[in-house]
Amino acid sequence: MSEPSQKLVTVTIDGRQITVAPGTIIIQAGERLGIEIPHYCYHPGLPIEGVCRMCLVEVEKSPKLVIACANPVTEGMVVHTGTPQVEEARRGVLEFYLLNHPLDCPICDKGGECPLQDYTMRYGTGASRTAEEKVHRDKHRPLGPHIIFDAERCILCTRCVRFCRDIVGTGELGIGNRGDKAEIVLFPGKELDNAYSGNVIDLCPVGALTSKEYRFKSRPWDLVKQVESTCPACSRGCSIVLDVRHLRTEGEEVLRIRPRYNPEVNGYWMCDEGRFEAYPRRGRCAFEAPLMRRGDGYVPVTWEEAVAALVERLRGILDQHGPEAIGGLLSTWLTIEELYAAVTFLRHEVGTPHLDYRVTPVHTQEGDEAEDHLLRRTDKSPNTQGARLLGIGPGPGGWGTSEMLKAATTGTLKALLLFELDPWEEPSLRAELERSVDLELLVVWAVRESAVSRRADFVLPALGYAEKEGTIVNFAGRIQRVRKAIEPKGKILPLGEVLNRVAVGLRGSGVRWTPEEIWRCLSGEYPAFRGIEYETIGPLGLQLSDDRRLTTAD
Amino acid sequence: MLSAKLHQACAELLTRYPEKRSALLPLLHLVQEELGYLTPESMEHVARLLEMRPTDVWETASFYTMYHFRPVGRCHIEVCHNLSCTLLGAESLLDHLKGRLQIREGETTPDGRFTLGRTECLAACDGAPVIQVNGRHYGPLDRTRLEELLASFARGELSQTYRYPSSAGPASPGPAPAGAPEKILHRNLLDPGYDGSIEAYLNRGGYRAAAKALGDLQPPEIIDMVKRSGLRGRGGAGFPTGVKWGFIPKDPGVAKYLLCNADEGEPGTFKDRQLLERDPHQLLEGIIIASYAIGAEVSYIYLRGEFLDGLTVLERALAEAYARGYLGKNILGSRLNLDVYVHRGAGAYICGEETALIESLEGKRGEPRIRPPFPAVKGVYQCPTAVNNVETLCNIPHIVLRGAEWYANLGTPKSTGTRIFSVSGHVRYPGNYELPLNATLRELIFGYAGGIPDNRRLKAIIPGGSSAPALTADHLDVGLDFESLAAAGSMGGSGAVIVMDETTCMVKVGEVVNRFYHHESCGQCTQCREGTAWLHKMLKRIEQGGGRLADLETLKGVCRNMKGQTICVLSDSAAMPTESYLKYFREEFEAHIAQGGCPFRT
Repeated sequence: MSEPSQKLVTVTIDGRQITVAPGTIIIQAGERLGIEIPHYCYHPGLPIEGVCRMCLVEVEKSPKLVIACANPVTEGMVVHTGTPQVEEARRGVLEFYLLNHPLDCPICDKGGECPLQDYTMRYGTGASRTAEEKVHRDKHRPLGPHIIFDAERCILCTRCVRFCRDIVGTGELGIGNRGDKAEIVLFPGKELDNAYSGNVIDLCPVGALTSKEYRFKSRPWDLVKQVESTCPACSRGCSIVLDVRHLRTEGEEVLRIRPRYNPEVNGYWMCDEGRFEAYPRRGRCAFEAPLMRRGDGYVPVTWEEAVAALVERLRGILDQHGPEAIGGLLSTWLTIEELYAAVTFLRHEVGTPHLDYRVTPVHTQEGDEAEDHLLRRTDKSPNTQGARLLGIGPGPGGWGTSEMLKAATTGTLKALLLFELDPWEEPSLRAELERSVDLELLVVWAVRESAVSRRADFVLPALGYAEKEGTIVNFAGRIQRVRKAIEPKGKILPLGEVLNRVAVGLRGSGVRWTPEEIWRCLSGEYPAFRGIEYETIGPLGLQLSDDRRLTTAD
Repeated sequence: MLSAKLHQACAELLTRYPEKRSALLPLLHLVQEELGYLTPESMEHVARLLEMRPTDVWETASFYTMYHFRPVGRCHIEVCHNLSCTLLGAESLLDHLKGRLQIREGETTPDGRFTLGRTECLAACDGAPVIQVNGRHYGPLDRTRLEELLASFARGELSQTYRYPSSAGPASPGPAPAGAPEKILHRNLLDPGYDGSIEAYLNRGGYRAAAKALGDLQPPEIIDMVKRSGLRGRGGAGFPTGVKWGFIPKDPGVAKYLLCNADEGEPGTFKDRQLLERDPHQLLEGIIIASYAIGAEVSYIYLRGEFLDGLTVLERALAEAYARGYLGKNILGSRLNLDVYVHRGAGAYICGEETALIESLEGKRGEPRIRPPFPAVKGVYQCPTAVNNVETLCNIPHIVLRGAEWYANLGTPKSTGTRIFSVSGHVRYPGNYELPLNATLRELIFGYAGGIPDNRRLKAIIPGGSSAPALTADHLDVGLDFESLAAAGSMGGSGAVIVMDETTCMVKVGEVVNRFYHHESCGQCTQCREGTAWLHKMLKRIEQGGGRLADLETLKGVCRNMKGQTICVLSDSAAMPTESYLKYFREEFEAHIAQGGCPFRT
């Protein structure tokens, strides 16, 4: 009943003192000291439930063991986490958990990264005293589009229930029945199909909730790389980890994507679109080599052949019609570095004022808004803010997107360079384009086939977001890194490298765009990026200050 | 798809609670009455009416055993298989029913007439063995009586013969010994013509305490008086009532609630049921005074779902009290406004635990809350709340009328007053006995309850409901007060005394008691959810002859791991008695293991 005090409190855990903010729970104070207090139901992103009873510790002057998750530290509190009584309690909880656990670790996705395994190894008894038959329950029951439930493995920590109820607010999951008949349930006939359902896989401390997509694909120790990157599925840019496995036949493959804690961006969570859909769509490049149109079809060519032919065609148009016959459209899927290289190429190497960026795919609504109370944004591309900050748009006398496309149908524009976007796939632009496009040269950089890649003269493979390094700026002006997790299947050159080669072909010289080189230029040319060095953008990103953003508002 | 009548009933229910969700349990009862069972569609409909998510309705409904999710027979027979009923032949009744109806437990006859099942303690242990048929209780039964009942059920009648409880008769059976002490709570029931109506209550001086409290006393004076009386909670924990009330903040701007815990479910206990069915106004008067003392303007009587008779009695008593101005606005011309509602549970022992009761009243699963905060600070609807047992509240008018000192002089210095002991099992006169708390087990069992029939020897006594560790014939001179029973290694608990004679198999007792806690664990805490099931399974196996000597050490180890580690004490309530059976009757366990079966089976 006392008023919350702002005074810091000092607590002693296992003989070591720490001073923490009032309200800090014992588990967190322990974490600060590097003291592990094992737990299952506690999760820092969820309301406290206090039911697994794994985090029992001894607090001096307290007659019983107390749970370290629900008890805030108080001034002078003395906690012991390794007394015989605590150890016995932990052994007890683990023994209770394993009574009816199927112990199917060899075929369980969680095996190898399972707190039930880990704590059993660290704190368990090693021997079973039970002679009773295990309770059998539902196995591999799909709960929704992404989640499979194994009730035998479940330890009823209720993390998944609390996540759906308290974080997403949809509350599909509940606890049905009671006692040892209690089970995670859906309402009859309903599904776990909220936009964030995948998080229950990460939250589940056992293998009860597994991913339909990842199921049986790998053991965690086969995931040779954990690459910290940024999700491209919308303008939020959630911090993520790409788990990579090296497959004998297919080479490196991202098998799993998980959120990575970032208090400034996504907390502990990510949406299902980012987790399950973004990678198959745009994670890796579907093309293995540049394609050039030959008659009605395409032939794969080497980069040397592609660049030489492209230089030839561009030079022809430049010579005959001048640079103003050439336009370029950039998508917001490009990184800052790619945008910068493309803009520099168009403005300086080609010399055209006709360039613009386009949010790709176009918003469902005007502008970029929160799609729900949690994370998702209506802008389903990662770098619109980046394009805005670079001030991308037509130069003096230049055309924007719609004028360029109109010019393409009237023959005024002779060549169009499309950087990872496809106007034919946008309903608002398609009508215009369907009439007649009269271009001498249509070039597209793309990660996969689309309407335009079946019309273009050149289809140049672009790196998927799991295949490239770079930076993007989220809706709130936070710059974050996209990290290369896997090698592309074919030989795919970074955009900057291709443009450099084309520039060399056109002008005899070009700039070799390394990230460092680009950042030297960026921080010089753009106030938004002043003082930022590529290497200082850490795993949680860097907030660009508001005044920087204002200076380049479009 | 639900009837207009039901919508109307729902609208009325919603006026009773500040939060819609609280109407869930009563509304589901009504839906089930209308449809026979709860369909997913009906639950979705209820969810819409109460602005809940369907899953929240489903998880709550599935927590309680009284709701059905598939059709049941027109005559739903449930045999109580808890301890007192098992001691007196419940299994034999069940076997008989299975043979006669040609179905197994949980099944319905092909003609849809009968469904057969088991149930846990019905708080009718003086009528053991008892059965529940469509919510009505019958007992004591044997095969002959059961045959009579079956014949009436088959005719489509719900027989009035063998109905439990019989609504008249003395509070306690058997001849009272000479010089028996004064009865306080059972006082009105001494009058053979007493019918529990408000007229009868007023004729015997009822509501004078309320008039005195509201007219002459300030709330702090009442709290002080109850503190000085030494009254301790009669539900199980024995916490001083006045102290509990003293924790309620005095801030007049904050809504406060008085909850009457009428969820009597501790196996062996049937005293609150009698108090509220036979003398409801004594309870209401206690509620009025208690509400006045803590500043509550709304009070809920959380009534055990199985107490259908009690529901009728209480609803009538409430109507009478409103009509006479003892409830409602400006009671007895005072400034006290008080509304009292009966809230019916739906089959969950754990809801007798005060924080589980609060959750249940809020329309949720009956899962105990982590304390702190305590209910006195944040209880129902996050408001200060006092939760008091029926018997506790029934004491209040007497304390107010006759004074704290009078009360404190009864019983022992630390366990004051009288207490109603529910005696069942192997005694000649099972029933409720009100005795001052300085009486002994011997006086209660042999002096009042008539001792053990057929001169068989006493083997074990459970002195405070099935959660209490067992005592033996060596403990007969132990006092019934909280301290003496604790010193003897047991506890006063709910005041239920279950007596077992020499023919009793203590391994079977262990199995039955643990079957109950296994069935009733809410399942939140690991130790309780898994431990109660494990104890039950082990004891069942040993009882059936599959035991190993190592099991006895395992039993003890499991009990140790179940104690003092969970949110509430249900886990301890299974472990503590189990330890006592092993302590006093280890040779019976060993005999089962050595013989590969039960030595008591003939």
